Amino acid sequence: MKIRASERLQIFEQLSVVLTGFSISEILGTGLSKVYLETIDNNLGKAIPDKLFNEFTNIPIKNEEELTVSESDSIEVLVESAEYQSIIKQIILLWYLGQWIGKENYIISSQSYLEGFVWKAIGAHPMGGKQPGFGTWGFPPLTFSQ
Amino acid sequence: MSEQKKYDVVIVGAGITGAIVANQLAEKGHKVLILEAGVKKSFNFEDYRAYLHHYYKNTIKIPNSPYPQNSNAPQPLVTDVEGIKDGIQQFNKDGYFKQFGPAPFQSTYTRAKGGTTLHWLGTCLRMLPSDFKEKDLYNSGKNWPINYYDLMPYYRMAEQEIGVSADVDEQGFLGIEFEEGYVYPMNKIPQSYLDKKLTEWTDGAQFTYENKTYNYSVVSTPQGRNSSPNPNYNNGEGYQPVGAVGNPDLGQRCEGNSACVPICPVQAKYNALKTLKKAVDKGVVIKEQCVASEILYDKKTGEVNGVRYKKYENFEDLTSGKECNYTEEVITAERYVLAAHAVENAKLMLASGFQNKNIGQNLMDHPVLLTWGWAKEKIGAFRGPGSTSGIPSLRDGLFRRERSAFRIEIGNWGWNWPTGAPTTELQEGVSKHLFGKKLRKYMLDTVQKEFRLGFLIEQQALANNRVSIDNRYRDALGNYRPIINYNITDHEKEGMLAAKQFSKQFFKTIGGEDKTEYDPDKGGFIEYKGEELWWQGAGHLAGTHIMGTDKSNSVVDKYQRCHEHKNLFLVGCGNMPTMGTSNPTLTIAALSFWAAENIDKDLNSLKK
Repeated sequence: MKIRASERLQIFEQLSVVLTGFSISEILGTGLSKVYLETIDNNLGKAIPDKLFNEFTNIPIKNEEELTVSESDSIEVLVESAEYQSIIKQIILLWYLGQWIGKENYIISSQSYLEGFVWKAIGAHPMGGKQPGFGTWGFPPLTFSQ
Repeated sequence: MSEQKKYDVVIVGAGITGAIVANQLAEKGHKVLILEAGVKKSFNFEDYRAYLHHYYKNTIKIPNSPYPQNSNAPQPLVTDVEGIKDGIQQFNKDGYFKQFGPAPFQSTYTRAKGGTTLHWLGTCLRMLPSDFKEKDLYNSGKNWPINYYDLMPYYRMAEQEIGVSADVDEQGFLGIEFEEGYVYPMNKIPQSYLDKKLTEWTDGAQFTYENKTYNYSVVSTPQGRNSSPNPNYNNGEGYQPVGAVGNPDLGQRCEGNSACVPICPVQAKYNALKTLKKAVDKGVVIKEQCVASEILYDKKTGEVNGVRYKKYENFEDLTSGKECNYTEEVITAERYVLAAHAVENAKLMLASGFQNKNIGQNLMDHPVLLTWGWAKEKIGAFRGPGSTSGIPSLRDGLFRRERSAFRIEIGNWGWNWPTGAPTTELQEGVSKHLFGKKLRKYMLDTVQKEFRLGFLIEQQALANNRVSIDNRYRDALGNYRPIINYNITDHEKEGMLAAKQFSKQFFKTIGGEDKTEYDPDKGGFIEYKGEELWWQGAGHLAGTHIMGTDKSNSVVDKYQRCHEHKNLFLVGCGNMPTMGTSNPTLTIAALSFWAAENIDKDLNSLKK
């Protein structure tokens, strides 16, 4: 199945929800999905991402809620397949660190560093940004219902 | 002769010590010029923000990562110290320092307007009274020609200038005294949740070592970062926190950006730009992109009669290998001050042919033994200033006859320093094929329990640990690159051994899990008496032109004036004959106020 250009970004965003464990609103809230998809295309070409997107769209997903709560067996198979290991790792690192780690290694932008999901994942904020306020470090850590 | 000179004082270096001397002398009506080697920067906040964006975009987030390399005034990087190969420490041959080991010198500094206070942590501990007379008390190390009580009024000035936050009634340990009624400018920075839990978990417990017992008391650290002002400061006058230079409404309080090293985004943490701006407003002139290359002096009298410097227009990345264009000029004044940093001061004097044999010797640092582990529950790592508390009980004792004392710093940023967390954990998680919610849970569970201890080991001043120069090693402007010979002794290794034992016991006491594991191939790894040890640099480079009683044992006298060059004063960590166990910036700031007072008196006697 040929993916239409207009759908491609949306599929990438949905796949990103599954891979990162962050909701679609958090993904969209970064404002970075378009830039990240371009980064992937520029570094890897479009063939591999398109193949991955195609296989991903064949996995039945009922609603957005399901994306965030469960990883079905088919997703596990996809993630662990030798063919996609590299690109999947790169997508996760891109979202978590705002950084492309490949032949070249670079942070996409100041914004991408600050929007890195790694900081949210550990219950903190990016070092040097999104400051939580005076004295907050003395409070008990937030607990997240995930 | 004085009529022809445009300036009373020329200062080399626009870091904290140069800024304080300049500001104090300008206050007294003297004409002051500062030569700064770093790239020209305005006091506009946007210039500072550029550093921040450079930090965000740098993939390697080391202390100098916000401050671009500059071939005309290169700076050392922690990454210049490479691994150990076949038992030999390796160094980046293109790094600024030319290191001959045998141990790696792992500390760095920043060559930019504002100096290394741009990336300091902000710790503002006073030295202990015993640190000033170690030779007398412990037959180890050296004595200072001044004592704690001589320095007390200047500590007060330094605490005002930097804007130190602390509660005075917590700070009078191990002999530290304050004038009656003294309070710090601002209330203490709130202690981290980690600090509070460690206090709770160590309550009543003791550490026994060498048949002595020590308490674990976790004490809030005085810090040069803005907190709530203390209304009782200065006999009830209070204190107004100083915000960001060029954006003074910003940075009135620490906001918990968790990036003090390498850059506070809002300048709630003091940096020397704040003092420099005040100095410039009083008429001090800063000549930027001017690298001092030689101190000119009368070979008979020793009197300094000028500073030669190289002024450059453009700068290239350090590694470009491109030649840089510059013009040479000489500036003269009545009095001269070298405030260019311990290594640069020594290098400049050696390059000028100074004869005092102590110049460059006694290079010191605080080798920092790092240990890390998990607390028994989530404490919320990566929040707040890098460190808000320490454990001071092992900073002094008769054991200093035999081994180094140390200060224990509690780190709030998980294992960021020793292992590169949280990136390391992320890569581990991803390589285990974790994704989605499982990856998030893995990250939260591993990182939220993390913390590390840093043991700042006191290092003794030794002649063989030194900065020197050699014609073969020069930078793009033709100035010398510092050559470093450095080692640590059994005295320090015994201190590290004690620190390691403390750490093991500490993790047991708090019911945590010691996860310290050293990589034998990493710079700073050693094995001593069957124990694996690993240390890093603290950035506390000191001792290269120590103060003392005469030229046989020192470079400067107690007034911070060169024994052999009466119109030349030196300031900074280079003057320290012992390191003690406190981070040195507050002490050198205090010494700079003292030096400025002496220079003022000296200039006034001239003008009479």
